[in-house]
Amino acid sequence: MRGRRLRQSLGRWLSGVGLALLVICSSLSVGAEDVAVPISLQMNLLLKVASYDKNLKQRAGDRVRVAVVVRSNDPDSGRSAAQALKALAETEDVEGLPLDRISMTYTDAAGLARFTHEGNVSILYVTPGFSETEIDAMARALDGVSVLSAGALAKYTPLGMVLGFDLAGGKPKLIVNLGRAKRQNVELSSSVLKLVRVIE
Amino acid sequence: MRGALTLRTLALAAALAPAAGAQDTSELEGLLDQDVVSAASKVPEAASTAPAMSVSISADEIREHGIRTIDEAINFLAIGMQIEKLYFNGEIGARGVLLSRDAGAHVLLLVDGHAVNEAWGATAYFDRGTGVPMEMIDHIELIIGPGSVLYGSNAMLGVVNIVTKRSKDFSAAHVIVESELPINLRAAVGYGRNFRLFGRDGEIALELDHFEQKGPTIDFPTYEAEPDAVTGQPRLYSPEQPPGIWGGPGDDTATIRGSSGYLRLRLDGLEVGLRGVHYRRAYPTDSGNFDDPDSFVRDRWLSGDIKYSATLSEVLQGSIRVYADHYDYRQDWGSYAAADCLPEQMSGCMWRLIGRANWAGVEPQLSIDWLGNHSLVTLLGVDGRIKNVGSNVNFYSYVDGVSPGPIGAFEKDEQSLGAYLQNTYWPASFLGLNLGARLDVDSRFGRALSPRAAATLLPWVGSTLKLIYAEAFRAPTAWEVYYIDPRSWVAGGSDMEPEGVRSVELSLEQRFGSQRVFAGVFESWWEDLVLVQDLSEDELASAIEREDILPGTPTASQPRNVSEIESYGVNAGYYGALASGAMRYGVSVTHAVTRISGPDGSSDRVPVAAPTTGNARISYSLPGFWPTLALAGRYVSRRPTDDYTPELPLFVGAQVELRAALSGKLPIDGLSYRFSANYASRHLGPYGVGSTYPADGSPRPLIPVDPFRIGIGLQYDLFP
Repeated sequence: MRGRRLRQSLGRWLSGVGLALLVICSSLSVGAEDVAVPISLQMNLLLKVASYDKNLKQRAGDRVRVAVVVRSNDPDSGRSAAQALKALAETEDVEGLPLDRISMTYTDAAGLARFTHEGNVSILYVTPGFSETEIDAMARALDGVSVLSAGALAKYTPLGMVLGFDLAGGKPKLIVNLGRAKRQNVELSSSVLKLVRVIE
Repeated sequence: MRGALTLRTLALAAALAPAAGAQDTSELEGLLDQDVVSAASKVPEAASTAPAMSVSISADEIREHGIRTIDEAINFLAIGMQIEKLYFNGEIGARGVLLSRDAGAHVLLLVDGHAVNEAWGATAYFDRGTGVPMEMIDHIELIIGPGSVLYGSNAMLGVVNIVTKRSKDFSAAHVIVESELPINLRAAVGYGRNFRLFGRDGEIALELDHFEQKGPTIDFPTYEAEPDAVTGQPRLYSPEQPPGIWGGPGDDTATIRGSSGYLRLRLDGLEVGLRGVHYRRAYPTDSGNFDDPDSFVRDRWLSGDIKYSATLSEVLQGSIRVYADHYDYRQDWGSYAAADCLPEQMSGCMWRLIGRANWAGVEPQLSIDWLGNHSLVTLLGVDGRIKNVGSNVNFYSYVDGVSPGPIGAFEKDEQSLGAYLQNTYWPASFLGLNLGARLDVDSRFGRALSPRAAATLLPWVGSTLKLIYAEAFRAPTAWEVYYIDPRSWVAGGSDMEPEGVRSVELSLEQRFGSQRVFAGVFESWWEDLVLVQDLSEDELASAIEREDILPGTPTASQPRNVSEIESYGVNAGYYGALASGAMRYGVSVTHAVTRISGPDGSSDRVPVAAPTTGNARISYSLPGFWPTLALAGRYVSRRPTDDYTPELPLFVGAQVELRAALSGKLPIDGLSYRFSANYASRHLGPYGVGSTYPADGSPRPLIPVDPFRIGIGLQYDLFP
């Protein structure tokens, strides 16, 4: 008897919780973006990989400018950008060149390419929150622009970012889109490419 | 000869050294070799800065070293933890503390964050009974030291979090067959893929496996055992031996049958986990009859977990988790001895224990990133749970198969609520603080508070200095609180309190390129540990007066919070990689001085717990289709056996176990193999075996250890 009461009580209780869960899920547009590798570690990796780019100094001139690309009104993007900028602030130079960090609110791909070219940006870091279409558009717009583009999410790399970050086996992994790297004048040595997963 | 050796040495050095003109990538290798853990503070972070001693064992390491179970992974590849094999079951300890026969209740086992330790006896297995197919494991996180601050009960020695693979790392259909020749066979099928549903990214990964083991036949020394306490006559242990003789060949001693399945589904911020386990194994020589094929232990789990995570604003992240679990336990324990059975069962009986638990809960959690840049974060959550636990014991007569009725039956509805708060603050880039506490209120035992304070200092490049204080508890089990046997056993009752532990530790880690060295010191104080105590004459009289115990009962026992442990020691490790990560190696050692004390205040060694443990490993991945070669070894120092007493100080000598493994791909696309060989230098373990003590007063024989075993495995990945 008591077992039946417990089951009924449990059933009501779980139904209530399930209903509440459904309401919460449906009221939110999307769930949290899955940034597998902590942003601060991504920044360390990004700057370290950049230091191995044979064309960095030629591209940067006297200062390395890192632009963090933010999607307006996207909380995941905003949070990640703030973390990235904070982590970048803890590094003073890359390969002996002083580091500038800037935030860039994304409007369209052409604008991003123009900003990169005119602002002499050496490294672009794209935060979470962008759609596949937008990443694809960014990649097309950056074609021929000399810049190391990196994405916070692993799925951005096959879509057109040069560098991506993933987590497997509890360790960070780097993904390099070699085709994009060539089109964006990024040249990494074979010893670096041995350590990353290369996609064409 | 010397010249050939020199040439070989030069060739090896050339292979490992960077090519002329190549960039030094050791710093990048070091960054890529950092462990990222999420169990220490419920957010992904570098293990070096996590507010607890944290270790991660990767799927690559598991595969390369021919690891088949969690206990092997911990023994060969982790630091600080020790698993002893009681037959083929693992008993887990850490830093010099191992509480034998606790069924894993002092370590919290998580599978993708879902607590496995069940609500009846807090059981968690770290062997074949874990119930997560090994191929699905992405990595195993070990949080060593008290960890109740975010998880509640059971995290006294630490937390083991099994993180399963994302579908990207498990894509394709998988067929796996492996065997430790010729005693067992395991077969598994799995599948993983990404998909799009309603415009959202989704992924699924699942695997089902089945394992059968029969053997090896273990030759136990025979001895003349004490006579039956009721009849005064030699008792029969086995139809294959004359009455009064225990031991002989045990061909049913290592019989195991297990099936498990795990499914992980993700759709945007929604995660679903389903796990089912059926685990049946022989347990015939602990007591009762010898090598009785009808004696066994069986556990079954069915668990479901649904979690939804959302970013609510740049400052707020939230999640809600709903979970439900079923667990049941059955132990059949046969004895031909009248002394082990009810008064009218003179020809023996089958003792059957049934335990069960159902529990469900909801855990909302909120993270507030006050400055929006992750430097000041508050995590708060509430875990509300309802539980139903029950148990009973029956003695089925060997004559007619009938039980006169259950003994000690109970069924209880319980509720618990845990609320936790954690603040992480990095006031400067070189200093991190983590302060947190969890309050658990439970209808079974009252309340328990588990605080933690950790400071992380990064004093110079590549170094991490950590100072950690933490507390944890283990709730008394339903068995300890409720079980009654009017002929012999008084329930612990409402006087039972949670076991508690406090710990302080200091550690330093230094990275230089792809090399890493770690050293730490620790001390822990355990209190209110549960021991089974005999009632005094006055207590027995009062129990009879209360009608807890039948009149005329000569002795009775009761579980009580009467024991304490103090442990202190050091641990150290060195890990590194060369040749662009193709060669990996590591060595670790832990030494602890541990003393356990009873109600009389006397203190002594902890049985089975080894003062010194360590391991070393190296692997080298040859290029292309050539295999990966791996060698691992573990060392466990001389330790007291489980029959150890101050009056009879019994020890077993040090154990060295070696594991060589070979793994790689075969010429057929998608087909890969593993081959391993395991050797144990000492053929005896730290457990006494035998139903009763030998009649001549000598100690019980020690448990035999499987000395040498070869394993092979094949995996075929289809439709990648």
